Parts: sequence; C-alpha cells; structure tokens
Amino acid sequence: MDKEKLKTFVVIGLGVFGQHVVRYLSEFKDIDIIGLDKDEKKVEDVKEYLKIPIVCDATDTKQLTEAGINSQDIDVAIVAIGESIESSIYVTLLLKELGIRKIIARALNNQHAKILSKLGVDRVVYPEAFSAEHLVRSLLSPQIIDEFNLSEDYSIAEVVAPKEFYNKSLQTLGIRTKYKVTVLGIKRKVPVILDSGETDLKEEIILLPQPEEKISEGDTLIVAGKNIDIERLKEV
Amino acid sequence: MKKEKPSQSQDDVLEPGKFYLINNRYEEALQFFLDMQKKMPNNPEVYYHLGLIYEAKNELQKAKEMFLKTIELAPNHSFAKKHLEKILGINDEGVK
Repeated sequence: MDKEKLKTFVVIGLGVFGQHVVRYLSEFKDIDIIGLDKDEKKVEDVKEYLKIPIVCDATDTKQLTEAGINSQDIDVAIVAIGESIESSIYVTLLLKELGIRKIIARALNNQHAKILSKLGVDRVVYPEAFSAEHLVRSLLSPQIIDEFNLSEDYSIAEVVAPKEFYNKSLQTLGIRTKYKVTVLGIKRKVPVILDSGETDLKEEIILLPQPEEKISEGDTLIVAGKNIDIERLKEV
Repeated sequence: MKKEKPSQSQDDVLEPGKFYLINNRYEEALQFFLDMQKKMPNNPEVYYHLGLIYEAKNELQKAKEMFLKTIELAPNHSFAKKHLEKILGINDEGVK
C-alpha cells in the first residue's frame, strides 16, 4: 500500500448509513476503504467498493486487531454503527485504545453524542438530523437539490435546469443579467456503455462554464446569488 | 413471474434504445423502451434503461420507480441498486 498517496479509512458498521459512506468515499481515488460488519450480507452489499472487506465483531478486541485495525495502517475510522449505542461506544473506546489517529462516530441521540465527545472522538455526526433538514427543505423547494448558505441572504444552490433553458447557451440565456445569479458549474449526466457492456450514467461537472456552453436536458446548474434571485430562477 | 436475466437475444432487441440513449436522444429512447415495456413486461433491462433515461432527464421520482421495478424482477441487479441508492441518497445521506 502506498502510504504517501493513499489514505486508509475503515468504516465500521455497514448498515444503510455505513454503506452510503462507503459509496461516497469510493468516489475519491486517493482513499482505500476497509469495510467491517459482523453481518456477512452487509459486507457483501458494498464489497465492490472495498479494498478489504471484513466480516467480524468489532466489539471483540481480538477480532478487531486480527482484522488489521491498528494505528499504523488506518488513517481514519468511521463508526457508523446504528443498531446499538452500547456497541458504538464500546467500538469507539477500542479504537481510541488502539491509537487510531482520527475517529468519526455516528450519534443516535444527544446523550450518545455527549458520550462520544467525552471519549475524544474527532467528529460526531448526526445523519438523522441531517436527513430531516434535507427532507423538509426538499419538500418546500423541490427544484433545489442541494444548498449551501453563504450568509443569511446569499447561497450556493443546485437548481435543475428548466426546460426553457435546453439547448441554449449561457450567453443567450443571459442568466447573470436576467436572474442576477452566477453559474459556477453545470452537473451533467452522460450515458455511457461500460467495458462490461452495461449502460450507465457518468456524472460530469463543468466548472466555471464558458458563456457559449449550452444547457442540456437533465442538467443541474450550480448557482451563487441572493436567495430571492435563486428562488426566481427556480420558478422559471 | 420470470426473474432470470433475459437471454442474449432479448438484450439484442434493446440495442436501438441503448443507441438513442447513448446519443442523448432521450425522447426517442424513452418511446422505444416504453414500447418494449408493453412487449416485454418482465424484462428487468427494459425498466433499468427507463430508469436511466428518467434519471438523465432529472425526473427522479419516475427513475426511482423504474429502478425499484428492476430490482423486483432482478434482485441482484447491482447497477439498478447503485442508481436507486444514489437517488435516495439525495435526501437521505450526509455527514454533518
């Protein structure tokens, strides 16, 4: 393993959240992922993304060390266990004892979060709270896929390109003049045939697109501007 | 209900639709696979490609339904699972 280039993450607990974490980590080329769960099926589900799939009980110190979880080989450990607070705390404690440099742990409630913080976890995550926030926002604003608030009045947001924009260039559309937002990028899904013969979609991001760049059907615009102007664009 | 992977000849029949899709001719691809849906209602590849077309068009609710149907017909369809989870992930996952 080339330690100068690669970072090794271990994801412990491969339920729905853990599997999502694995998939998103796999999009980064400079990361090796070790996935660990006591349920063989869960490991199997994400095996294709894992450098090392491990079926073992992470609450068992012997099994954990035999699986190669140690401070020399692991850069970041993500405790994604969602079924048992006790297991999550115990595994976190074991990882601390093993000297893992960086530990990120999923909290299931406030008390759990407090205990994880006391154990010296580098970062506590609340996926449920995050999901709820996203759900409410998407219900209120279905055209906006994702949003990042720069301040109270300004945001960077992803807006699905309206039909009226298809096959027209940014210059022709005059988005900046007309809607007072700046297009920072365009996300585009490109159909491809893989070597295996399967049809798939590849996502391309055109950062800081040229004025002559044409909008295609299915494009998502990444725009920056005042919230009120982004809302106007969304209503096109 | 037939759940096995379709035969090679069945896959070959879908080539024109794939051609439309690869060339970003979404409406023609959609029409083709909707016609195929009537002719081959138990072929998971038909639903998978419909899912891809809807996803490419950003019609994510329809895409989700098609990927779910694909998985219902072919429970081990890893590509459909990947796309479905990605769509669900838009609202479900995240690290704060």
